[in-house]
Amino acid sequence: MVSKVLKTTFTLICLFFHVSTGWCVDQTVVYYAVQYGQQDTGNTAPLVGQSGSYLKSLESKHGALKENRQVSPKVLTFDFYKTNGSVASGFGLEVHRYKKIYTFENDPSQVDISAVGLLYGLNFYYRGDFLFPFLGFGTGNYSAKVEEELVTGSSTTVGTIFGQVDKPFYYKFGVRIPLNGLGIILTQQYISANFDVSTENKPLSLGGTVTFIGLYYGF
Amino acid sequence: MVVAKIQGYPRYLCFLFIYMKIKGLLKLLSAFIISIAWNNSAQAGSINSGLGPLEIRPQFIVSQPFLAMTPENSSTLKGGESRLSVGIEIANTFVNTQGPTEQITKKEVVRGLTKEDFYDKNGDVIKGYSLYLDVETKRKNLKYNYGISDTLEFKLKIPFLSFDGGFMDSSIESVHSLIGVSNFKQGGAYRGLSERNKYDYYVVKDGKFVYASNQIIYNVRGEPSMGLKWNLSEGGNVMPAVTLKLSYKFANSDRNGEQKLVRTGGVDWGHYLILSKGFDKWIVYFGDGKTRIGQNLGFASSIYHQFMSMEYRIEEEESFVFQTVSQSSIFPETAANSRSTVGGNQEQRNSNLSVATSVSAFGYKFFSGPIFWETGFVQDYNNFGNETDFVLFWEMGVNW
Repeated sequence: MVSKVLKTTFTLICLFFHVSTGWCVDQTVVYYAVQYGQQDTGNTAPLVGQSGSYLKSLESKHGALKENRQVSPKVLTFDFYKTNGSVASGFGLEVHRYKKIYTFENDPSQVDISAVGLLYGLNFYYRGDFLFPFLGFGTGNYSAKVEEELVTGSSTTVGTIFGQVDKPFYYKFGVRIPLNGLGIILTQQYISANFDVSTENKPLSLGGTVTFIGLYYGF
Repeated sequence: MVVAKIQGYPRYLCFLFIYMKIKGLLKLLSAFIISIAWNNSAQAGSINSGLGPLEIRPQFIVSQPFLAMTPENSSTLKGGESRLSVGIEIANTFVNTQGPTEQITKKEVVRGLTKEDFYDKNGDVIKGYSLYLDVETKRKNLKYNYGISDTLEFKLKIPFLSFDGGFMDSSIESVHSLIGVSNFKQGGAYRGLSERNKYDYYVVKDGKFVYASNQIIYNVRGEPSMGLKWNLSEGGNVMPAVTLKLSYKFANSDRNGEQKLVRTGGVDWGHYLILSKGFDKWIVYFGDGKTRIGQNLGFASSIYHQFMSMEYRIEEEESFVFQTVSQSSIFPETAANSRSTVGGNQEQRNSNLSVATSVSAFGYKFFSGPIFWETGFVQDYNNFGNETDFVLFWEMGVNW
């Protein structure tokens, strides 16, 4: 039974992917968007995420974090897609940027984290009358700077660690609400992007679960 | 046998067949061959490739002698076609790991740098790599491509390298000042501490010189490389085009004098798997690859590359291209301690040189009959100290 399903599926995939010449190209649309939201870096992306243990490792030495793991990224996106009737497929580029300072309960230790993500990937849309739901997935890279100032008794150690995540992975879904050329965009995104902080030799999660709202302009 | 029958299509499709029974295989094969024939008839001219990504390699001076994979179009020259081109890539690089402590300034450079200048401010030898790079590299390439078949392309490339003080320092410092970046701090790479347009190339590892050169070199022939590019599939309306690129750098053991700055004396080889997908006037390219370095001279033994390129086709023979390239560092991890108890010390800073970096590039490609032209620039946006600051490049050629 499984074998039959596999064969049928594969045959259909072959025929559909390689032979679908019946689609007509209506137009190419370009979107620019500015988004703002909340990203929980302590919440791993379902299916693809791995939890980071760098901050937990510091917590075991310096006490619990005073702050939560939420950051507030600013996101610029550029998308283009080709419509085929009411469905569309396209490509998007996103720049994420955020900073966060963490302090600890037991001593004046401090860790500053700043991250810039350049993410890109494929998007798929359904163009309804009033709503354009979409989903997408992709990769890119994250650059990060971690500045440590850790106090243990009377001694203080410092470190500035640069890092890059070469192959993050994300997936997302959301909806665009068009209002002529302008519109509102709501996005739920899940990002897996861990990098090893060499001082602790532990991974730090730069991704997590993200909820954005923003404005877009399309033409 | 199966591979031969479906030449031009991705191998992973073939591997799926292995898991199925012979009877089912024959049925599927029939459907697949029909789909290929139908698909090919519908695709005169690929919808998934344009003029291609910007073919620019990493230009960081330390990686210049080694092979480095370049992004490339997923399509190949047609069988019997040839292309001859010349190009130049001018890269400005400034790194001063002694900048924060002002151990190397104009005064020390005029006096002549010694290995003691690369010790820490207490005069102790430190672990890891320390750098003083004030360089403009000019890499001139003579390149010949030939279409062996409609899906297989051969390439031969010979580089000629010059290292000098260049002309871009004042422009770069002016741009820094314009956008509020101090040339006396890390953001401006401590450029303000040094004379403009001078050439100094010093790499120190664990307190010993690896390179120590302040003699300008002109047009020294590097080691040639050859490559093969195989377009496995042109893709379709949904599937991307898939191409495998292999490159091989020949070894030249003649490394006397200045030649040791541009030759490794070892064989390097690498690959890139390239995917591309067209969305009408927009075409996106992805690549993932690796360079294996035969004679690494104490640097990294392999380098990983990824690129993403977005091409906007203004017209059929004219495109703008935006591109990002990430690559692992030419500097391997060392014993340099990434933490310090006496403030941000040099060893702690040096430990960051092994971090992977990214650059972004913007360029323009143009074809006019048999003549083609490619130009653009590359900008490092990470400032980790192991990448070029700014690169300009041109390539011109003729097809026949």
